Amino acid sequence: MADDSAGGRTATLAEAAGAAAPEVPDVQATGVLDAVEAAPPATAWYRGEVVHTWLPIALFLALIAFRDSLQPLLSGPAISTWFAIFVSICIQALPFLGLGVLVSAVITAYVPTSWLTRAIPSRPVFAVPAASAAGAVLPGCECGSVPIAGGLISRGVAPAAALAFLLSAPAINPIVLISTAVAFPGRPEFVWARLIASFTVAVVVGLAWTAFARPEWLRLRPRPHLQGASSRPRTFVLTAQHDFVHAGGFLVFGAMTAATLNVLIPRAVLDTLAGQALVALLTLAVLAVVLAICSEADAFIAASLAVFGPRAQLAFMVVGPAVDVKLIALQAGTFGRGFALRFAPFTFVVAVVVASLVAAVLL
Amino acid sequence: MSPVLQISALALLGTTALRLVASGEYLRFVKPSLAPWLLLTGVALVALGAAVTWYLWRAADDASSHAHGGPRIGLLLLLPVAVVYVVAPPPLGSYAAERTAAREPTQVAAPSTVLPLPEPDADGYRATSLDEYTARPFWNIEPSYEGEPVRLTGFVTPRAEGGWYLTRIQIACCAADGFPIKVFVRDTGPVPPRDSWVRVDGRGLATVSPEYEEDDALGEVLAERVVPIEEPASPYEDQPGL
Repeated sequence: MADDSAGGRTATLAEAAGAAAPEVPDVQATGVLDAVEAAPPATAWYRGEVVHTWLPIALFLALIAFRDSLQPLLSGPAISTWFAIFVSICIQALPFLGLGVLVSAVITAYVPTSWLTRAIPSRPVFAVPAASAAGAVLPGCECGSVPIAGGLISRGVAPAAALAFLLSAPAINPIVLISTAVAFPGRPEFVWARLIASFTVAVVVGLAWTAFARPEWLRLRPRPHLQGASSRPRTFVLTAQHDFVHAGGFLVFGAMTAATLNVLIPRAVLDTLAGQALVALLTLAVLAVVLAICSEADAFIAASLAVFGPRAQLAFMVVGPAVDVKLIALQAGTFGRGFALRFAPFTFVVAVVVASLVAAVLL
Repeated sequence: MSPVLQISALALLGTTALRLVASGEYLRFVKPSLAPWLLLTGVALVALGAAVTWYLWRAADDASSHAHGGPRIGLLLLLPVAVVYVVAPPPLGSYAAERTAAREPTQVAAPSTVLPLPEPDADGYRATSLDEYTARPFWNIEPSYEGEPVRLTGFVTPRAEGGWYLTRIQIACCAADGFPIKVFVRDTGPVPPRDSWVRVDGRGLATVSPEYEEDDALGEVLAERVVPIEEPASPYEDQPGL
């Protein structure tokens, strides 16, 4: 893939807009230097600079300058708890996110494109399980696996296999499994249950796609890509930068949501919902969709939801990497809205059912 | 999100991670074992910011065009940095303790077995964690603290019906998974201020009255002396076994 992006194709603005893109690149790697081809008029550039750089920086500095006056306003017990939980989720996830971004950037820049396509058989019946298994060796957040799947499809891999990969890569890679083991100390059965359930979901959804899907459901949208990437180190740096900023932003959003739910939802309500097995299961499954926690960090959240019981906790970890609000947005952007509207609900149902069955056996 | 802002966000996040570890403030959010990983991540983020700056600099040389935006969602990366510098939130306290259900204390030894008590300190008290203190009666581990001189530290969670609980939050990874350990303090003095940190020197009790158990308390202690102290460097108790 580095070879492709290093080819130095100079895309025009029309290409970037999707009018005549000859080929969709395999990996979306839009760094700071994307769209250098389109120099906007000077005034627009100036306004953009003010809005996108100096305004946020000025706001940030103002916050710090007025911290002594702000602190009393931000120190009630509920809001302090919100801040502590919010920051702790961000801090805890930071090394995991960093490692995932590092590995995905190494793969983007230094691993040849063809190895996955060569490794995956052409018949979907074999390709789907193979692609699901391949997901296990590619660490990364779900945000990273969407563009990779798009690239695989554009390079001729069966969509079903690419989608199986899309589902398995963020769910069962080593970083996710290790963080699950850390989050559930002394309970390795959670790691096994997660591995088996998520792998099964990827295979079932992939095979179902082979059997029932119509080609027109999936429309690849051309994406802007890394321009004039002349070297592998440059591809590496710009991919890492883009992925970190992108996934990190979504992670912070997830931490905000989690902290809000933690503080806002009265314990009595959670206890009531947690009390009934089916309600608890569906509550955590929906929570996984809404929270949109990075798969590398979601085990820690799941561990804190012990009051819902192991079945619901497993459903939380199986649904989260497969379906969540930010993934639905990413998928709609990459494969089209018609795709996301079909794929997400179907995957949700499969994930909940499979997680329940696996939990019944293993947990 | 402009390139300059993205680079700023990377550098700020990296330096914030380094600062949190250097000042020890990270212990308000995560467990001690994360320190080396936070340091590595901090250094890596600063290096990444520097590398992006380098490539941006070179691109500015060979093209008059201007680079624009990354994903706008990335702006959110500035939020935790702002919270750390502006709010500097205190560790979880009584508010979280009242809203979170307790769990079983850690199983420090096989149930109904013998695990020696910690040695008395210079003042003759056996200093221990709330987790270990409550685990003995819960898992029926001998010998018990019954009648022993004990020294416990925690913050104050007042009890609605009078009295107060010596409280500590125990975490497995980060504050988001924290849960409280509460020990009722039999004490004749006034209730210390909510969320203030105290050390309780007293005599161990092996049982919990049902009215405190209803509040999720796992133990009781008979106070001889309640001493106000500074917030400890590590405000949470670590869940052992990681």
